[in-house]
Amino acid sequence: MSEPQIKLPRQSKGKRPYFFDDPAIDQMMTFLVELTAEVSVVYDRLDTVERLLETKGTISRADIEAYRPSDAIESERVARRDGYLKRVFRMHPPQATYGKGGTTAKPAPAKKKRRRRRRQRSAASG
Amino acid sequence: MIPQVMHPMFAKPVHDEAARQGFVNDFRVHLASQIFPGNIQGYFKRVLPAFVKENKREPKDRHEVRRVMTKDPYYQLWSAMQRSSQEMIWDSVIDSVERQLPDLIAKAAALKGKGSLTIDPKLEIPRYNTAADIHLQPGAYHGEAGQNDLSAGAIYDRGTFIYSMGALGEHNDGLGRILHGFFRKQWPDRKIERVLDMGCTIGGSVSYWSQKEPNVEFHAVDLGAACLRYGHARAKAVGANVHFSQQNAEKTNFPDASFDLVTSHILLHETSRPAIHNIMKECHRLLKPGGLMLHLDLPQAAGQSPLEGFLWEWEVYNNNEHFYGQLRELDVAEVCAKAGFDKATFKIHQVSSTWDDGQTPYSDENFTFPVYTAEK
Repeated sequence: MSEPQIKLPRQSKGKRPYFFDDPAIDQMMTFLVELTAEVSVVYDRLDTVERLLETKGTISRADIEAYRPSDAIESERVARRDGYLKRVFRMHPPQATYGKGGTTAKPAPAKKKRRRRRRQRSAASG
Repeated sequence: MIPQVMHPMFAKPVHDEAARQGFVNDFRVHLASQIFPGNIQGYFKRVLPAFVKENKREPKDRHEVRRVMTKDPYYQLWSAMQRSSQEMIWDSVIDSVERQLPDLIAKAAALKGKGSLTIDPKLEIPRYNTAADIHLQPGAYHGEAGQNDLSAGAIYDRGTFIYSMGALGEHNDGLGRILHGFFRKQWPDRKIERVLDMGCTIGGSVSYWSQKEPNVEFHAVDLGAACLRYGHARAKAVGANVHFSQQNAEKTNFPDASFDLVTSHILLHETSRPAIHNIMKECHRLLKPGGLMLHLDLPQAAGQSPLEGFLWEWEVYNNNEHFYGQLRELDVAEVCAKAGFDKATFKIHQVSSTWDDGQTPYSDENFTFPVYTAEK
């Protein structure tokens, strides 16, 4: 794409809030959301190519650029994006407390484990 | 996303730009409907019990809620995504506008239509507009990128549509529809000849008023030249008749007693404490005796729980809506009284966000806007 004749500002004036103690996590969230957007754009483009190929033998880039989804097709895309967003941003169910990093679920009682191991050993030897 | 009507001045997106804008819209819908409610669940399940355990009482106001909620990992995650989505709105729209800006400027010049446009290059932009870019729109509503620039208006037209997730309707003029509908329901027979709309940005609302009241002379002022240029072109494109001029609503050049009606659509919360006093004084000066003013704005804090109050203020802290925090607690009746309005005529109406034939673009059909009214 050619360079625009007039460059417009891209950064907004004002202090940016940071929500996490480590600002790198805020930055990572931006990367993640932007990447999710780009995958969605590629998906729409692929959808356009598929739909055009269903009606025409060969297509050009110009055909893709000129393509405008009908209201019905846009509705299909909205439904698809909805499922996509639900999968990518699957939130963990609400917790009463959050453990600190490094904590895991309670381990199974030690006795049972030993017994199971013993049984496995005896099965192997028998 | 619901389709936005592309009038002749609209910056039409190419394939991938449209896909990106569509994603940002749908992402914001997802955040609002799927992720945001988890803040409320998390507050009652996690944050509130911890607060009560430590303090032996519940938080007394939204400031106390803020101190604990901003430490909550779920809230932090939602906020980070919400903030990113706001930045992505503008980036996705600026691509389209930047690419075709010279064409849009030429198109605006060639459009035939009614109304007029007066630009004042010497107008001083007040600090409440220059300190930070409202809503994070890069370059702000008053920014100019060159001669005859109208980019801020073109960006605003598409950006606010995505911001509101189409809640202002396919013409993106729902606030005008809401306020005009309220006005004609409340004052069906009131005669108006000259009307001023303050802080009109791209004139979406006032253009709608003009389409509904074709025999009325409409004027509209705003600080931003690029928004006004686009607004005038947009008005011509949709067949509206509005006289746009670049002026500060705190002090305009219209003679005393010029108007039967003065309106604003979500202007007040973008100003400042001294400015809102000046604006009300200016309304009083500009109205004819018996004239009426209508200011539609965002909800105030009264009646909201500490949690609701905290959540409503997310935009104050994170989306450069700085004065909204103060307006939420401001005694607007007192401001109007100081400006010269008889307190007996002042009223706050809670106006439903439906319009025309009962369309409810907002997902919460009980959502209302306060409309401040007073007569001279």
